[in-house]
Amino acid sequence: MRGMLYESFLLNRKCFFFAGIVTAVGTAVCAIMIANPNRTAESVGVAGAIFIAVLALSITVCSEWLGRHLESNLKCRFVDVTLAGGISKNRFVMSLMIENLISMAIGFLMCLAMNGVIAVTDKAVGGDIPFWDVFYIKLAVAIALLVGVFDYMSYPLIIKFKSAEKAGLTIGVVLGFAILLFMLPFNWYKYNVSEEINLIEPLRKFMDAPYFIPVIIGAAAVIYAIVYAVLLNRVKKGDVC
Amino acid sequence: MENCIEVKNITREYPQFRLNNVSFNVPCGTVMGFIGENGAGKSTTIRAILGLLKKGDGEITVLGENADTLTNETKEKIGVVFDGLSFPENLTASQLDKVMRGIYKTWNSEKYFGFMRKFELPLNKKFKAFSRGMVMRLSIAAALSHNPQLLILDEPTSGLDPVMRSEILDIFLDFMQDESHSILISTHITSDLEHIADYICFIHKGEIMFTEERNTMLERHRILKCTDEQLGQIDKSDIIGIRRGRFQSEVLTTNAQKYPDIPSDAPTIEEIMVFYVKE
Repeated sequence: MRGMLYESFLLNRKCFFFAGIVTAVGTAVCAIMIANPNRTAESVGVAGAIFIAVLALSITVCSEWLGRHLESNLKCRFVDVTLAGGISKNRFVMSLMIENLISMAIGFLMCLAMNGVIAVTDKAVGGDIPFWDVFYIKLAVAIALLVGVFDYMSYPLIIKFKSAEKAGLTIGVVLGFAILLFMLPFNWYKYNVSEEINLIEPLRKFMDAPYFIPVIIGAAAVIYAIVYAVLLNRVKKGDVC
Repeated sequence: MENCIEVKNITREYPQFRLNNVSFNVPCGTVMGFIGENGAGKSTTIRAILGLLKKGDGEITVLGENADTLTNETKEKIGVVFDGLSFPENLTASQLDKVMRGIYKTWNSEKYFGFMRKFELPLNKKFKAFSRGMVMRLSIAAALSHNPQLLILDEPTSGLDPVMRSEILDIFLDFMQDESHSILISTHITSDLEHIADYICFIHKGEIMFTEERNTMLERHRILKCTDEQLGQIDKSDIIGIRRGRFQSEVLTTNAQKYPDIPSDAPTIEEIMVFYVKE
């Protein structure tokens, strides 16, 4: 398993490097906007929006290589080499999950670093915007888990289609339809029954609640366990490549 | 253990292909040449032996264990060469050493780099820049570098020049100096098997035509060189395959002794394969 992890991170270190560049550039832009002596509430708001966007982008870039790497190893049959070698099927599936979790963690740490730099910059100019706030840390955790789960869910489809693109597209279409199926009745209700209903308030309340992190980690763990079982079953069936 | 590989009645269905009741054994301490035309089922059978295929009918035992549930210890004893590049193309040879050290507990870096020197392979060039011959030499080096007991090789000399092929075959013969070692080698280059194979197993359209000791197989088959008139006298059930020429026809048979008046030649492994495949 050590060999597989080494191979994965060795070949895809450029993704982490690029994610680091994106985070550094985003951090610099936000820091400059916040440190600007003529800053206004609007410019701080824009900096906040850029911050959240870069946060999501960094985590996405850190995890972007996972599906393509699996596709590449399937196509060149390196997966067969490892399964025929000293790696059990269980360990093979476990290594895929560990790659996913490590990538997610690296993305999350980059976000924390960005968060810290911006918070320090704000404090240094006498600002009082709570950038180093539990809210942003929770947001980073939520985005990291969402991206990680999305990528991990695509693995069984990547084995089926031998294509990370098709797998991602399929998951995207399914999730899109799921959101549509939710939004259609929601919007109908909003515009025909009660205009006061909205999603932002409950979401904010949920994020502010102390149980937010345990709930989303728990939900992610359940999805990881289900996908792990599906993947292991698929690998045990054979004909992976 | 009498046989290092036992394949019993393997049947696998695919949309365009079927492995049909494939059975053969590879005795321990021997080299078995696995021959067949393109698409005959050699690679599929090899993958079934390695436990990489979907489960189906039949049973496969490798080094005494069921192929579908090979332990890591047993897998470490099997050196595998697949056809073509089966390593990530952006790796280099020196990086591959570190990867394989993390996969095989018995990986021997010294041996690996020794093979790299012997095969004149660059250590810091990405595999995607390797020629086919370099790729095969790399795969062979990797297969031999974790002290395997059994080598399973799918077209290992494909793309190699005659000099390198000869060197590789010598390495395989060295490998076989240890009587506990065995090789299953699938190849189109049947002339290589004339040098090293103890047994020949011939697969055609997913079915095993024969599995027998090489010398016996060569002695049993004869090519009758006959005129059209003589051809008419040969019993159809004695004809395995016919090659019609302008002035004479060639007939492969295992009953040449029935036709003492018809001149015959000893066939090569390649000729036997061609006659069986030609319809």
